[in-house]
Amino acid sequence: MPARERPTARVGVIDLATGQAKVSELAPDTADQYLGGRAAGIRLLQDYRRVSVDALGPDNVVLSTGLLGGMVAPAASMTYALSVSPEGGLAGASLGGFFGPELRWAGLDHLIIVGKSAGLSYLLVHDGKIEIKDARSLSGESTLATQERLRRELDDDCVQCLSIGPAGEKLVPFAGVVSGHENPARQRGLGAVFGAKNLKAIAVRGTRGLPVKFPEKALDYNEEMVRSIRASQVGRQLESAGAVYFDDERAATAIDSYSIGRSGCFGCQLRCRYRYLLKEGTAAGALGETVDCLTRAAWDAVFGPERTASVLAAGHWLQSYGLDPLETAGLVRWAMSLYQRGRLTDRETGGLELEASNDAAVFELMGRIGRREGLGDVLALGRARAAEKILPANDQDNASLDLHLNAAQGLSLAASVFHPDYLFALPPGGEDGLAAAAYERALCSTAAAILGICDLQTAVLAADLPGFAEFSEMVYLNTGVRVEPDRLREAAARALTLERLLSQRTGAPAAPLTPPLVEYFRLAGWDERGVPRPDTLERLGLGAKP
Amino acid sequence: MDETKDKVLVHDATLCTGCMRCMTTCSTYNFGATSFTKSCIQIIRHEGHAITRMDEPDELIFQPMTCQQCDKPRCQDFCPAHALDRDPKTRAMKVNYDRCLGCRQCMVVCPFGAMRYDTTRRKVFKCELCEGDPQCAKMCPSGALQFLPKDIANLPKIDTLSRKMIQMQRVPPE
Repeated sequence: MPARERPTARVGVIDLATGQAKVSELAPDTADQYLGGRAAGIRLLQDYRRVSVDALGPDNVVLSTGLLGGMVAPAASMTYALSVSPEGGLAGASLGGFFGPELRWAGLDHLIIVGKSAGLSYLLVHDGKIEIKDARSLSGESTLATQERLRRELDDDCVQCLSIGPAGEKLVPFAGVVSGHENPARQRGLGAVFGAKNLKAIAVRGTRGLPVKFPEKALDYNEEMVRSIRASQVGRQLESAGAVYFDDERAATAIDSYSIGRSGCFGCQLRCRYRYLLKEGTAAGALGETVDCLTRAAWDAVFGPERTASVLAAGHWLQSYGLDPLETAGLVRWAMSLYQRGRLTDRETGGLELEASNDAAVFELMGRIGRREGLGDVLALGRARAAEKILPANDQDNASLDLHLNAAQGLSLAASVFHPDYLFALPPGGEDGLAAAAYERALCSTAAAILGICDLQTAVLAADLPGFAEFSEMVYLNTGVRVEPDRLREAAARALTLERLLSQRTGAPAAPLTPPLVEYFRLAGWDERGVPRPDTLERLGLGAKP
Repeated sequence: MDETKDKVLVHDATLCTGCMRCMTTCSTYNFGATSFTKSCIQIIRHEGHAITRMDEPDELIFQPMTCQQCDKPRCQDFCPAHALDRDPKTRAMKVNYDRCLGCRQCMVVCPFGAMRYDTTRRKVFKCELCEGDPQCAKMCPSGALQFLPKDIANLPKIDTLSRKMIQMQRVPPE
């Protein structure tokens, strides 16, 4: 049988401890079985994972771009950052913006960062050249200021950066990484992993082109895709209200007086974020981009209704400190409820009056969490450990963050290793076929992550959006490599199973079992506790010890 | 009337979302590769140094910069090799590669910075309107780039401005 066609990719391995970097081709069997993107990234994470003894040890980080990153496809903008979470399980982020395309134009598809740097440093990737540079002067800087200062230092506005904020440096277990204004969605402590490695940022600049195999056909096909995406119900909803008001289009008017236009990632036609400029308050003059509606709802719950300016300002501070928006919302709300009931006094809060009306105090508390000062240092331990420290043992306190997830969202979150990007846009599903729909979504989203395209405009959300067949065609027209839809599906299933294995081996907390979740596990070929069955491992070529 | 001849690329920076699709479309169509460097049109993100703070919201803008196909092209005036000619069909200024010396004088004199340099070929390149069907305008998802007849070219802009004026009239004076 002739060998199957497989994509090629270049992998840069950087050892922060020795300062050595080397670039090689992606191993043929990885390219063959996982194709690329996050799927190949998960395999690289397995290959390069340090067996960690210390939860906050400098575990290795893999950054992966997709097969079509920076190419002619709808929103082919994604970068996937993967590592092991300080809280156990995997940490991962999918970042849009322009970082991924720039990395590919710089001649690299995957980066593997191992070891720990002696002092705070940043990585510079410039047209295939990789350097480790001193970042001690950036210590304590916000994620946004770091990006801005690196562009100044390198004297190039086209440099794209990925950075951590003070929270990552201080190893806050729910710190994230940020690129551009892309919000740090739930990442399970990826920022802390960067911090543990003394890695403040990654700056990339690429001027090399990515050759397109069939340029005119690829452009035509892309135009066709774009037209159908924009005509779809989901596309229209995202375009009109953005991700931030996806749940309630009428509320979109609330943002009108702050909005200074819309923004999209590389090559995206849906521009799902509003750009805003804050005119008053502690963040006056700050520029930001809106979050998705789940995150907005979490902060609406902190401040109360019709507090758009406060919610937007919270977005700015989360972004600046590099904190997980959902986890932080839960902690702030909890601290506020303790304060209101006198469980926390002014002495413990360090003089902060934690009232919903006092947003300056809320933002200061966020800063203290990010910098690990006073009460912030206690809260940075996370809800459970913070409760042990500040509450008597017999005290029950249930003021927690309720995301009000519908059944489809709840299942997708419980079944996923990473927080799915599409979660906020999932319509409630009926009980029937809930698990099958969730598994199909996970497969399709993983296939989109192989290509490096944003899953908000794929069949993950609606059947009239591009799915496996269209993905296959896009890959062919751009790269000339034939990857049949079934092979994409199989690679996605393999990646999901490997993700699952790695997540369990690294001590991920198990989600409570529900009948739809058990059904999902069965569809994926896993046992009733979500452990991949031996025959599944065999079928996917993951062997006894993958 | 020859339709292409009297059309012009119009850009409205207020509508641009900075997705840069025009740039990769341009480089793919003209050079067969996605690359910002190889694009005739350049979207300048005026946020480079201002990711964190701005004094004026108007500073935050994505400004498309490309050849205006001037009626009195300075690139042509200053080219020592007479390598720039107007295409009679599309009225676009085109580089004659048999003549271009790669001296980059045109880059110096162009008031829009629209001349670009190809380091591999060691010659300049510029927007030549894709034989009368500019792909960037075709692919622009937000309507920020359009290829319109010259005499109505600023109608979209007037439309945007008119909405702003209506808004201003609605706001009661403080």
